[in-house]
Amino acid sequence: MKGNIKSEEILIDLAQKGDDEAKAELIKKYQNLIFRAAYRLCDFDREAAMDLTQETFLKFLTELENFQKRASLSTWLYRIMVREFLKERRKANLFRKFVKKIRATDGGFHNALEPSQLGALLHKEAQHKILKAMEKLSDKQKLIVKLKVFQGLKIKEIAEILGIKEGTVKVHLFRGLKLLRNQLSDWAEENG
Amino acid sequence: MGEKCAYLEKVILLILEEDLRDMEDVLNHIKICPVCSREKKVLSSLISKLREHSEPQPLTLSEFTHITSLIKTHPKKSKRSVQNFSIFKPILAFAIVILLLLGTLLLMNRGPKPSLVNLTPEDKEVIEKLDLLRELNTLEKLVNIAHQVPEKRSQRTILRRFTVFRSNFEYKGRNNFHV
Ligand SMILES: [Zn+2]
Repeated sequence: MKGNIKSEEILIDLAQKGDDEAKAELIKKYQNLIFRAAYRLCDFDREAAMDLTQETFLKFLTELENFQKRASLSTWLYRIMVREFLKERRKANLFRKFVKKIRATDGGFHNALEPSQLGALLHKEAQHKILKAMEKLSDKQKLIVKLKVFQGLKIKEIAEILGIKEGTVKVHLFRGLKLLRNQLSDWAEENG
Repeated sequence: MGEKCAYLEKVILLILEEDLRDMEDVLNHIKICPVCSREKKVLSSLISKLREHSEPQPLTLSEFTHITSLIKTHPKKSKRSVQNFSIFKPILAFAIVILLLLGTLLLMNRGPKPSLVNLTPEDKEVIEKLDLLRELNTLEKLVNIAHQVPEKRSQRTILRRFTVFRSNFEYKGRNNFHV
């Protein structure tokens, strides 16, 4: 683990000096993590998550010189991703909703990626249920629930990413979770 | 979360954060409190399902490559080149205008050379190869050798071409211009 941290520090130093291989190595290391979080933030829209991942790493490359190493690189990347997500959402909220509606009616796109037709259908249904329940949450609650419950980040890390107090994270988290629990407890207790 | 218990918040934190300072205490409470015990069951199951169904399929190789390829088209570099271009753009445009003006003036002042105006493409080719043709003596020698000594086919072909070229030159030279 220590070796990993050290090698990451070396990679960051090299990348900050303009070494393309080091940059590629860092992107390779974090792109799955960021993509998974992006997928959750983008309400399970794979294409939007790809765009957000791309945007996050573009910003990572342009702002790399300014990275002070006060936070971990993953926290810094999450911070960029959330910022880009909020920016993008403001910019293209209506467009996304429109595209999603079209996808919801034509089906197929995501299902094609799933291992089996039945599994895909159940997965899709579950995602639909989750998104519907999430509609009751405020924007802050949604964001925090996605980062904490879906992505599994620590409360301390979320506070750092969003630049707010841990106590504030907990308040939004408990309220959001309560709303989800009230709507989804039956589903949660179902088998499978 | 319907029923109340003073420990409920700690139970939720335990499920979410997976480690707590007073974890033992909370776990012991869950064993004896039906409210917290049920809450732990429901929430654990809910969180596990939320994580499961929000997990994307792993990135495919092409998606992975797509993101990594960003490094080659990283905007910082392209921005710099655009900036440089925008600085040099007016200078470049000015230079092109000057060159065009000079070119036009030169063309206007330069009347066509009478001896070259009516030349056929073949004549022009001969003029272009004049330096080579000035070595006619050498060519002549080569042709003579070719006639005397049997050569490989390729060499014979080359020499035959030289011969034809020379006779053409002599013919054109006689009729069109003086060397
Ligand atoms: Zn209790």
